[in-house]
Amino acid sequence: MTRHLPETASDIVTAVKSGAVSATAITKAALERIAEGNARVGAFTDVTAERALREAEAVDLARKNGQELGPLAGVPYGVKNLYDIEGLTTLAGSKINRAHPPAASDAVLVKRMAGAGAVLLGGLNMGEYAYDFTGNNVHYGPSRNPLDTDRMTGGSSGGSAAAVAAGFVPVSLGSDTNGSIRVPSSFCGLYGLKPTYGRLPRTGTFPFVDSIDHLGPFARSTADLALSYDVLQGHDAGDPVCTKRDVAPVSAELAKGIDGLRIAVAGGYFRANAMPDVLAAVDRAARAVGATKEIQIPNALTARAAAFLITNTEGSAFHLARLRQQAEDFDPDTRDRFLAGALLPSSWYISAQRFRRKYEEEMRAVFKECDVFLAPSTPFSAPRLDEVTMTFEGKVAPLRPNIGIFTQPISFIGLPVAAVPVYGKGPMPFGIQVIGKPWREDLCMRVAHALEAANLGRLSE
Amino acid sequence: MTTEETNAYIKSAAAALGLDIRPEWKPGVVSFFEVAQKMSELIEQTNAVTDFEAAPIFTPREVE
Repeated sequence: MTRHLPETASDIVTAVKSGAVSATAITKAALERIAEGNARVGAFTDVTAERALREAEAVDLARKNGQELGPLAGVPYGVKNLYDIEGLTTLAGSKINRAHPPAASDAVLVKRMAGAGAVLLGGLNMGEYAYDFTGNNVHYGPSRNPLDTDRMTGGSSGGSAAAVAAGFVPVSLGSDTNGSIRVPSSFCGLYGLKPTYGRLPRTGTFPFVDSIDHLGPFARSTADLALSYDVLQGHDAGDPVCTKRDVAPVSAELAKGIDGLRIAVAGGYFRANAMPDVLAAVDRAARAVGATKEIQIPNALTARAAAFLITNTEGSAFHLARLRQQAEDFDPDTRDRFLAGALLPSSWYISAQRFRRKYEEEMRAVFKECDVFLAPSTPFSAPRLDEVTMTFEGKVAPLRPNIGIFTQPISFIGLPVAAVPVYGKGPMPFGIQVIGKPWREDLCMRVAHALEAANLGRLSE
Repeated sequence: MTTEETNAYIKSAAAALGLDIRPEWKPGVVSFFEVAQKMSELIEQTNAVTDFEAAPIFTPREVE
């Protein structure tokens, strides 16, 4: 008979600390799940089995010696393969980076996870150089949605979402520049946190767009999301953008509930461009938390445009040498965009940066009317892997650039967002963005926790 | 810009930057350039350029 092992991070920590189960047993079971199922979903590109067993044994030894265990003792996790993992080459989803030497040390967030007793199982698949909303990758194959493997995970943190949704690990780390945590959370039915820009240090990760790159966790519950987020916080001088603010743990905040919070729903742009079933999911979530006020987000379309220009220009400038020397080695889905981005006039970029300040000013006014607001994460649920167009109100449009239309205007000014899955009548989930004031991840997480408690699972026909 | 002007700009700018844009990649590059141009036009319709400072802040670090 197979022994039942705890599956959530919170339960694993409790069991490991009490001695009910060893971290080694948890790790071996996770490695077995990956060996059995990874080919089906394309989540892991590298499995660090030796390291994982070494880290798990260290946790078990520490317990045996009576030492206090960390807040993530024995919790298995994976990281998007743009995080440095000591001894592995940091692929960032590319073929080109395979020629790079192995990383000399772990990314700062990996070090923090390790310091908390978590057990690293490996690097996770992603869209090339994070310039992706689909989870497809020509070099390593697509990450596939564990809820329906003919469908996209979303990207670019596709493997990070697949690993958690498939049950390989309870938590994973990803990155989000324009939606790369929130989109896969939406398509795979997960909770994700994109903290305020500058909250978590990016030291030791392969960059994409300095002005808007964020890191953050995925999980299957708000408790696990909070648990992992809380060990990731804190200043690091290696990232000049990283805040020196005090850490603001959120785990203990979840139980505070939503009484007194002013929760609104984004209207206008965020309703005009979504499929009806997505709007129904947003409305269902809004009812669950008593959000009746609709707010207008000014200039969201222009904000998306500015995010596009900053992304295209900074990303392309960063890759310029590779575009000169190895353009043929890029994924065709990213190459043309990077080449075009390298050619844009600098005034377009500077204007986009100036607009960023204007838009921030306008959003400050929005937050005088509410503390948190809800918006869809994606305009539709997970498309099939082979879909390249979408039909909206009778018009056919390219699918790929439309996946991020609701996430881009939010990350553009670094607002914190908790992504929450909500279902309708169909089998595939929709993601809701719970968007907060800068530095108020606690409020986003309290509302996310309330939505989780409302149990917005699949509706009966 | 007309299509001819866009093509000429891309050809010149690519040469200036030392980028080789193969014929089979060019339609995609042109298409994305034109998308970016439309995006920039949206921003130019606002007062962002005249009334706001750019967001990035550079803070020189103290030398011990």
